[in-house]
Amino acid sequence: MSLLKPLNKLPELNTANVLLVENEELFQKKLADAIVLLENNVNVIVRLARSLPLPLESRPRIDLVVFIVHLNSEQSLLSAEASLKHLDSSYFLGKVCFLVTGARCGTLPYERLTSLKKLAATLNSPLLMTEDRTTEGVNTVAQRVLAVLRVAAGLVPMATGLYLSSLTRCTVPTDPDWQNQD
Amino acid sequence: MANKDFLEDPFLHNYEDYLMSVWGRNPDRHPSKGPAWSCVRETMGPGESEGFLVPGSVGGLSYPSTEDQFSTRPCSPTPRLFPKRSHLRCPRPPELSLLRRHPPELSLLRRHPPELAGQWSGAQAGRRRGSGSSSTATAGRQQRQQRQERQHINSTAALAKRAYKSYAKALPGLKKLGISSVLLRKIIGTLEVSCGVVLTLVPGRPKDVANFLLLLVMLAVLFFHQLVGDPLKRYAHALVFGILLTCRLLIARQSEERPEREETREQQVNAEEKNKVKVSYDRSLRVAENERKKSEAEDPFLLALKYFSRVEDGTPWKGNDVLERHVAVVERLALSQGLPPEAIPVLLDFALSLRMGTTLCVRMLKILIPASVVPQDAVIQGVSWLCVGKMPIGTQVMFLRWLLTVFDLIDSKDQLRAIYGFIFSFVTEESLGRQPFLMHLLALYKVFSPELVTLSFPSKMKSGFKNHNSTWKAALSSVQRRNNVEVASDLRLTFGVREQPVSKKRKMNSHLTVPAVSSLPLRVSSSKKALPLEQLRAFPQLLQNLDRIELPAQMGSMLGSSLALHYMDCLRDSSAFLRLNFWLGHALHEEFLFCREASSQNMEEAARFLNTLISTQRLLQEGFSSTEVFLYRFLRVWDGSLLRPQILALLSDISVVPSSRIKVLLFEPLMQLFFTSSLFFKCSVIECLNSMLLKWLTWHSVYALEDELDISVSSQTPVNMTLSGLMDSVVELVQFVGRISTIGLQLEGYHTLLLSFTLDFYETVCDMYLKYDLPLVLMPPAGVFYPALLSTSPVSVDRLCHIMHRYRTNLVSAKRQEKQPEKPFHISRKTYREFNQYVVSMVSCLWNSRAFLPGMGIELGEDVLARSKVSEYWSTFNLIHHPAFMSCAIDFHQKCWPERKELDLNSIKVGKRWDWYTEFLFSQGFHGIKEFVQSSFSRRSSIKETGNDLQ
Repeated sequence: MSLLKPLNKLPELNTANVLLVENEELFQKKLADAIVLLENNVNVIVRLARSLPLPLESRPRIDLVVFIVHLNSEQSLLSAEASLKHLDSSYFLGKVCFLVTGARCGTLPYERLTSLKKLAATLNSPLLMTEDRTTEGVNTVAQRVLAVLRVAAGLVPMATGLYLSSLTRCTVPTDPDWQNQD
Repeated sequence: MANKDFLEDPFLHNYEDYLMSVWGRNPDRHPSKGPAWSCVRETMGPGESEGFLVPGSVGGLSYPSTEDQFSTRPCSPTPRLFPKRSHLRCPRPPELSLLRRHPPELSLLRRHPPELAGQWSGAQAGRRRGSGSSSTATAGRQQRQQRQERQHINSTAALAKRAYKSYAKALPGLKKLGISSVLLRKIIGTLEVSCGVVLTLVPGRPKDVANFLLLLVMLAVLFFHQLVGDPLKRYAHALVFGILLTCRLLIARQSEERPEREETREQQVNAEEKNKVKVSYDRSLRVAENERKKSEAEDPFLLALKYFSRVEDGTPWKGNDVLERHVAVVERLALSQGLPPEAIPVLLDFALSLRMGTTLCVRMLKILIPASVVPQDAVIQGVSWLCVGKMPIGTQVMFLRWLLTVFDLIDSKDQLRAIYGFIFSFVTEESLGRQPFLMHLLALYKVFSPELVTLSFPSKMKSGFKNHNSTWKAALSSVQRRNNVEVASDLRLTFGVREQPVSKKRKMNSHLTVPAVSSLPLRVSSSKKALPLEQLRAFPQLLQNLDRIELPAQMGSMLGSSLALHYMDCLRDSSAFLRLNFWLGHALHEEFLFCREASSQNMEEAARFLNTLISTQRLLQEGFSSTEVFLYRFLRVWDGSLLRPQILALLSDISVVPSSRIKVLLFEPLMQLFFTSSLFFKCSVIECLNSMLLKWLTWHSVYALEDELDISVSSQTPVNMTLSGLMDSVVELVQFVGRISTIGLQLEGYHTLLLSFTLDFYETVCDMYLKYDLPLVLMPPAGVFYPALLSTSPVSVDRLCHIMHRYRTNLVSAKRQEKQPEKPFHISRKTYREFNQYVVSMVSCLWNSRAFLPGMGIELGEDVLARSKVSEYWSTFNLIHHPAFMSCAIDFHQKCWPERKELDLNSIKVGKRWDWYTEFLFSQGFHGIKEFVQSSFSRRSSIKETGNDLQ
């Protein structure tokens, strides 16, 4: 199956398309609702998928792909990694973003977060921490996704996704002092 | 055709009415049909209905008497059911199917089929015979019934007599004793009746005797039946009754015998274990156990305890079901309510003695969650097991961890303190190795008594304990929460000694009053009488007793009390700060944010705690290093909204970060949050960085006076920083804010709010030299300066003018300072050049109307300017045509020429009007412009000279 490309369909006026990819389908819906409710000026289309690739016949234009990873499940990370392979490399110029839930919880394996951070850092993509249990947290992350989406969809003058991703991309601290948590 | 039958039914219209009345609830709603009841009455007549009416209750529904029912108050829905039931008795199934909507009624019908059948026949008969004869028929039936009953009774009596006769015959010995069949019958009857009465009425021993006698009688009866050879159905009742009596007797006996029984069972259990046989309790034991449960609540747990205290060395644990069951019992209790204090020594002893191997020891330690306190003896015994030396290192470490976890719950520590020496030599021993979880603790103790702790510690150690015991902690806190006991929870702060002199926690945690020094008996001189901090009530008292105040045992309790903090502030004891830092680091890291779900209650608690911490830090005017460590880590997992005000306030309190690490610690996580978050978050981040810079500068100005520029920023933190180090950090910070505000402004469309916060920051920056004595002048980047200059809001332009004025003042005095030989410092030419360029741009824009011309700061290509189709583009940003000031200009124009119809703003520029206009602007509150104009334009026509002067 061919890769998903960001520019194979023409953009529409004042429209932003975002694809939320989440294996568990726990958080997608809530986030989608919050995103749609928050944005008033632009026509935002939120699409949901469990994993990539998307079916070939009806591939829409996607301006931003958001991978939602739950740190409490290994499968979640593996599924996101597998889905990444079906994206065209030009998506990684500021059109991919990772959301991670449960990063604050100390009981979860820290290696998972580290490997996800490394993944996001190598792909030059931002990694947004999420508090998925509270409404406030959901709204905040919806706002943040929208902020990235607006830039990625070209709705912010003088800013491109690549420009923003150079500022927001995930970094892994090299100082060993701050790396080990155990 | 069933349906047709139904349609032809003479009651059809009644039925319809009935449905109407039931569904419509209110018959008055259908006035055309009239009330349902009247219809019924018409068809049936009162007499007919009498024949099948049963007054009273049918299946729990009570009906009023017939006359009432058919009287004129028929509106309650319940009685209406009745005539319908009578109709239903007609054998017409389709009606039933139609009525499935009303299942309760149908079930009512089904419950009394014979009765209703009787009624129906009676009713039919009554209808046939007429109303008068129906009562006679009923009377006749009753008589017949009575007769039948009497006959039945007579025949039963005769049967019994016959039976007893046959018994007497079958046992010839009776005849010899002179007992006839009649006598036998009477004896047995009397016995049964009297024993029955005793059994029901008299408590205690007579009851058991009666039970026994009855049992004997029953046996005798059974014996007779057997003798005669009766079929089973004749004596089944006696058999059942006999079994019942036996059971009752057994149960009664068992509850008395319990103590002996238990002993035997224990022996049995042990014996069976040895044979590795799966134990199965017999029934009666189980019954006994249930009995016991009623009287005492403990049972399986006590059994388990008994088991663990007695189990022998070397008992195998694999496949040992008894063990598994007992462990399961203990585990359930431990995780639900916690273990009672008396259970802990037993279990700890069992675990550490390794009677059933290491695996079980570890398993037992894991579930050793105390409900309230841990007895001191248990701990001492546990420590003594360490000496035996057969415990593997891993298990020893595990025990120590457990000990640390429950340390606050140990009921008293006097004896434990006596063996501290041993414990320290043990934990610092090489064989145990350097356990990371012990390092912080040992480092702290080294401060107290260097002679006890011989280890040396790396100087660069992270402050703040890590939670190595999170599973225990989690279980412990959940148990405590469930039990609603606030046992020395690290999460909760004891608020100030004044507010809560005796809190519950203090009572539970009795060692809070024990002074820290007294844990080291060598140092305390008996003459010196110490005053616990919590006895302090007022500030004068603090002053008087300053030298003999004791710190509380839990340093966290100081946070809430301002008196304690005042004391803390004048304290020169580094151990106090170290302790507080350790406690705080632990509380922040493990208890608050990393282990908890973001439920509103938790977050409220966290917010309260952080607010206390913030106010403490403000009072002490310095941040704790553990807070910083926590913040750096938290920023990396922060979503940008959780506890935002608190986190940003704490962040603004952090001490100067070395420039080598500031990027990793602070800037990277902040950047990622800043650019993806909302405008308000951006504003609050800039504000936070502004107050951070302010604090750094204040520290510098305070300590620079004290220590001749070689400052240590915070006296209690190990960060020592030279002036150049501080300057590097400040430069980094200012440049960082310049970067993010430039891009932030661009992303947010040069939002006025963000611009305002950015200018706030530069108001701090421009005065660094004069106000805070830091020999540093840093200009704002073009991305901030020009948006502010060309902004549509007059306030931004005015503030920019003020900032430029302050820059000028700073630079001028720096220039003067540079010329003095004793304190030489240098501000790079680049800064002057930058400043001059900004001034030229401002003046040419606002004053000279020479914007966009070559050499005037902002330059644009001719073709671009031409494309804008503005003819006099050079004058579009002067004080008259500037979008921010145009409204002022129009206002001024109207005041000057109130009679003029057409607007000619250019006429303001001519002659004296320009001066009047600037005066007008100053009077409108634009003080920044005034300052800028007055300082820069002392010689109005020679701006160039001003620039040259500065170079």
